[in-house]
Amino acid sequence: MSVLLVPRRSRKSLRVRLPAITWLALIVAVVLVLIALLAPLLAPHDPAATSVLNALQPASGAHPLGTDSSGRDLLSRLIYGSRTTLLGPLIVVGVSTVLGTALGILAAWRRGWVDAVIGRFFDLAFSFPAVLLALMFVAVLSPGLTTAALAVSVAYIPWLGRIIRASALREVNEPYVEALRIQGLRPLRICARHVVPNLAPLIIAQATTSIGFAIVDLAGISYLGLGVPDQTADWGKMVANGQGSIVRGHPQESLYAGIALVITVAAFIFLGDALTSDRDDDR
Amino acid sequence: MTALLRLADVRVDVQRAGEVIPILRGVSFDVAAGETVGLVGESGSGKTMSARAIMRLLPHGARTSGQMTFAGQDVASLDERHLRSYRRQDVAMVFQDPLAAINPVRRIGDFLTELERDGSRAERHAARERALRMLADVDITDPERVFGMFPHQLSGGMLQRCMIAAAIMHRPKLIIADEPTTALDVTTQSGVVALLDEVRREHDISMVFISHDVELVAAVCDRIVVMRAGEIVETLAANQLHSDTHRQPYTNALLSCRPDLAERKPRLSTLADFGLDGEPTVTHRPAGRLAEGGGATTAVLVKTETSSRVAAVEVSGLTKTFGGPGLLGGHGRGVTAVKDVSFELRQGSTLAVVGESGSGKTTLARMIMGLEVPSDGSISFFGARRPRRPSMADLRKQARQVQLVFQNPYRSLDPRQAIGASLDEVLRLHFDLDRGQRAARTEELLATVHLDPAVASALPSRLSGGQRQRACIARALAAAPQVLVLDEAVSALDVSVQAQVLNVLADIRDETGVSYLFVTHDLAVVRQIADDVIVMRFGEIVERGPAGEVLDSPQHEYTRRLLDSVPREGWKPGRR
Repeated sequence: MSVLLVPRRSRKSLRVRLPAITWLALIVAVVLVLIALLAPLLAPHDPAATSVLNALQPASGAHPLGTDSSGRDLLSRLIYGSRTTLLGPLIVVGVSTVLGTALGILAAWRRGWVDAVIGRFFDLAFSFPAVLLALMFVAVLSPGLTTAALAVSVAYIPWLGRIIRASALREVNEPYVEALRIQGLRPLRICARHVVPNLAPLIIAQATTSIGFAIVDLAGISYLGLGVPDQTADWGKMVANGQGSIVRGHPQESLYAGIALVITVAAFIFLGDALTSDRDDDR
Repeated sequence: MTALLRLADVRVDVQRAGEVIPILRGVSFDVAAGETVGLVGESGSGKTMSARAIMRLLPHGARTSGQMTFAGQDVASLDERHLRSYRRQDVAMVFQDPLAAINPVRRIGDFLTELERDGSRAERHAARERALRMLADVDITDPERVFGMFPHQLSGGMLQRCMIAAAIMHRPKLIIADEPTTALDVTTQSGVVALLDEVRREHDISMVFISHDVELVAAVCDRIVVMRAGEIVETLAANQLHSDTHRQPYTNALLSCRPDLAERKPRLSTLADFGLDGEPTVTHRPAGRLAEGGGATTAVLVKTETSSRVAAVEVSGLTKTFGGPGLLGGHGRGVTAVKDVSFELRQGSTLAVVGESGSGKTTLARMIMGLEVPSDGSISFFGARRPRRPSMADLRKQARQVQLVFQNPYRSLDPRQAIGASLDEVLRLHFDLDRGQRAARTEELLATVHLDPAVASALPSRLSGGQRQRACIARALAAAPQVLVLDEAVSALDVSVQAQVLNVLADIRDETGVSYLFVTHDLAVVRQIADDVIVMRFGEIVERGPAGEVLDSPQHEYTRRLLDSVPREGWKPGRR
């Protein structure tokens, strides 16, 4: 996939001095990925171990961030929660980017009725919010992270597809594409080997930005109880679970999970922005 | 004589990616009241930057030093308010591309009277009256109607006239015309330049006239400032351009790299012939290696059997109508871009298709390549008729016979693919060669177009325009075709680069017997390279014949007009 291009791109970006905020966002993103990968090593407790006697403990040596209403260690739950929080959006971005890019380029290449049909599909998918689609998917399939992620993916396809189509339209009309066509090169090959690499900076930038939005949407779905199973640690779910405790004077669970979400989302959106604005100097 | 405008050691640097790049390196010249000074040079010579410096329209981040005075006043010291009145009343500018320089959503009248828009009723009325007079002055026959029209409704020539009208609206003391006719057809150019000259004299305005065309500048200006790489090479009196025997080598090169309209040169001179370095970035091979490069071509290309009587390309009754009646029987009338065109391209010969914009010559080339579906007529290569809608297999077969070189070398190579990879892709598609053989052929192809083998690993953005166009020619040759269609392939190039590319094309033809279909608007290029010529106008062929005959004794009135419009020694622009 387009991932192959990342090294070339980052080498280029590093040569240009990055603004501090982009560096910060990059560091946050890398640290988050490391936390998710190394969760079993980092977490002080089993995130699912309940202990009614230790419910709603304040921060202490044993529980650096305290415990929730079931006595589960909040720090460990936050650490483990980063896994679903990052895995879900990864599925979303993977599925929606591949399909959005494919449909966008197909529409731009074929034009005519193909473009019209894909365009109407985009309109249709656009008219359902991600959460509503998730409700429908959960009703038909079984609830779970994958179902939720697929639902959000479908909601994101037109979003990426439209942007890709607009840029692909300009790209496929470039003389270099015609030059390849008159060599007798297959359209699929021209698109995969020439059009996609030329759109790669745009695709990567859009995908990165949509990670941020996907985190929010998936957290919202978890919050509604439609995403991950009940026992699994997940930030969206933690915000929901902590709600009951807020009125009892224990805002920690919702607060910490909320802060973690805000930081993560901001980091990915800033990264996406940086990639988008850098794109203009590319040619 | 007092100088109206004086530039003294003007330097401009821009910063790009942390690097300081000098654009102007100490430019000094004067423009006297009523005088016309021409700035001439190739791309990157700094002529447009000089104009922008005079207008204080430099790009963001540019640093200027040196002295620039207008009527004794220091231009650099003008504050925002005085700068506005300087640009409004003292200096006016005519840009290269009128369609890009005039706001497309405003009417011509609004464009002309923009400055008075906030004035009193009487002021606006007076502005309207003056604008209508100015439009009449620039030969617009129906000023009232044009006043209410939008830019897209007017032709390029008409628009450029409107821009000139706008420039003289506020009676400036100086007009800067930056390549004002480069975007126009040659016949239109003649009229616009004549008009500009006449209007200038009538209103007693000085002018800085910028162009890449020495002959055009010589015809319009009193003095010529020759620029190269941000520096002034020399300043000459225009009427002594040809008689001056002490010209600088670069000026000589500019004059003699051009193909000549009157006679074919055995070989065009290039910068190297004048002891000048061709392209600063790379790879220009000394002339002595030409033969070696040429020798490689035989290995790459199959020598065509020229004895055969079959035409390389035969086109018969070819017609293309755009936007005819729709599927649902809409009543679109459609535009006929090409109308019943028939011709034969003999094997091993060069046929030029000449015409101005809108003549249908590019549509014709695109139909031949299968990029456009003809409405009617047939296309045959070596006696075999190509289907109207070629399949993938047809295209692949055709690619082995006919290849296209596009006009714009900046956009016809994949910007993310190295030159070598571009060539390799074509070789892999058409031939059964292993990696080593393909690498060897890639090197041969690059040598054929006189490019260094090191170019193979470079991305197109690292190459100059001329190098890119030669890379495009190498790619077109990769499939070993017998016919090359060149769609304005040398039009976007500087004269010195154009000479190189034309020489390369002549070498390849001599070595291999390949046939060229040469689409161009430049009659001097036709003289230099073509055996036969077709003159097209409004989609139809108006004249055809051997190139020498047609150029020496044109039969059709349109061909004569085309020939008369080409700037050359002793040429004067005419308003009609």
